[in-house]
Amino acid sequence: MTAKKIKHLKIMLGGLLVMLVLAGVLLRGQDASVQVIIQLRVPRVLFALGGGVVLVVSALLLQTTLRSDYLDGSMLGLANGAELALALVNVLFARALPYRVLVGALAGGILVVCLRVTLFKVKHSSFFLILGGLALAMFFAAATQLLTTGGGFQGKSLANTTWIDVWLLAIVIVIGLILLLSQWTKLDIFALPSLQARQLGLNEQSSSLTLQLVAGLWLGAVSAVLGTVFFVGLVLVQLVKLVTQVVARKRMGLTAMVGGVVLLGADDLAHYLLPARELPTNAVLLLLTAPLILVLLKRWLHEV
Amino acid sequence: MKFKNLQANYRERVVFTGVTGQLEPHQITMLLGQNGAGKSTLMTILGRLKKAQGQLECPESTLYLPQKNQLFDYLKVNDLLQLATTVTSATVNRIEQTLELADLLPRDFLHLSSGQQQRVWLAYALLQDKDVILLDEPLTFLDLKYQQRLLKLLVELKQEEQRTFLLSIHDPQLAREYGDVIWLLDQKGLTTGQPEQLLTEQKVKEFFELQ
Repeated sequence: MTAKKIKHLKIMLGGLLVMLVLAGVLLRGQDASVQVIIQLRVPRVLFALGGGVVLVVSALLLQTTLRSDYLDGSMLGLANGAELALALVNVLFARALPYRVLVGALAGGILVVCLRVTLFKVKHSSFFLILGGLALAMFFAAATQLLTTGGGFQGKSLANTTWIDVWLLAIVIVIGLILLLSQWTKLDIFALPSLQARQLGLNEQSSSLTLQLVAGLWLGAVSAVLGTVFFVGLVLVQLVKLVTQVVARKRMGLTAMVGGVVLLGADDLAHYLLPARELPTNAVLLLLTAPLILVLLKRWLHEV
Repeated sequence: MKFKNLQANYRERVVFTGVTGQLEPHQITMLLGQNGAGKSTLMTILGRLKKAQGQLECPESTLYLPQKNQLFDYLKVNDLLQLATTVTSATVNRIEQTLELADLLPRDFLHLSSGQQQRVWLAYALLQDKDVILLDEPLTFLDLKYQQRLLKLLVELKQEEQRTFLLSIHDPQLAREYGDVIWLLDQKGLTTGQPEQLLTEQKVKEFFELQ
């Protein structure tokens, strides 16, 4: 990324932050209906947009650095791990729950480090990587279920998104963006086999750690509120790849936009589909996207 | 590049042992051996990509190109080659012209045929400013025209840029024609010599166990 583009990105992010602050100041003290929009609807929309972006970009980063098209963070246990961390916080230190996005992000980051010294050792085999990842995800899901049974634990819908969630997600996104930009020029080298990347002088361990940490932080942060959604990252990233047929770095922008729009759309459906009931966003998202894996399967079979 | 008493294992099996030799600088060395003799293993060891028992003195500027290569994402041929290019523009032009890459440069690597992909990978290796280049079965997928073009290009790069090449190859005739030094690898170890010494009709029949 050129210095000019980085400058533009900084200006855009700065502008967004200023707009948010101004909106908060201007709308303060308005009547009840406005307050409903400000306190409930706006944070929900913003979280859906930002969460959708980081949900799919995390999948893109994991696919790129692990050199496998067939996975995303949920299939490696990262999303369930963040949920388990949240359940543990709920049991042990419930006062920290308002900061669940931070808890999820930290859990995602720590899990990435743990995965690198365990499961990622078999990264040369997508099959074993995914099998191990799904087993881990199921284990975390079972542990979460045991911890939360009868405890009134919630967090599978964006309906209860707060401004704290939005601000914390924004902070996690900015931290991730800084790390991502530090590795931006090296992203293309992950298209090469590991051996060739090494011979070109890329410190793959360091670059992949940074990029996978970004993926872990982002996915953990969004999963703390949205819950686990299997396959969404995988499907959306691969569909964009199928359409654009360009390297990961060049399709990241479009992938991010698709992620934001799809999660926002799914959340709107979850909210408006049954007026009397709030549907879980993650279930609606899964229903919308998982069947698309059939399109990918057809394509992959054709390639084999 | 010098090596002494190299031993390589694959799981419990000893692939080769007591392999000693020296890669002659500014020469083309052709490595021949039956399937499973350990040609690729030896090359990865010499490229310092695999550990082995024994002594190895290897220059920093060494590149190994495996027999099988793949890309994990869409990348234009031009972008792929740019990742690797460190030689002068004159050498770039020579390599691209000899391997006829002009039409391939704007295309996606993943959309190329196996032979076209092999030409791109060979260019990828040669475009790197390395003193020693180890090419594992570089003629795979190439038709006769490009086999000849590649080998002639290596001879030019050897003579004009003092580069050193080690190629594993299955064709004794091409090895005799383009090789300066021959390495024969089998369970007894590594036999080195001149093409006219080691690649006589009788010796080739014996080495490859031909009828």
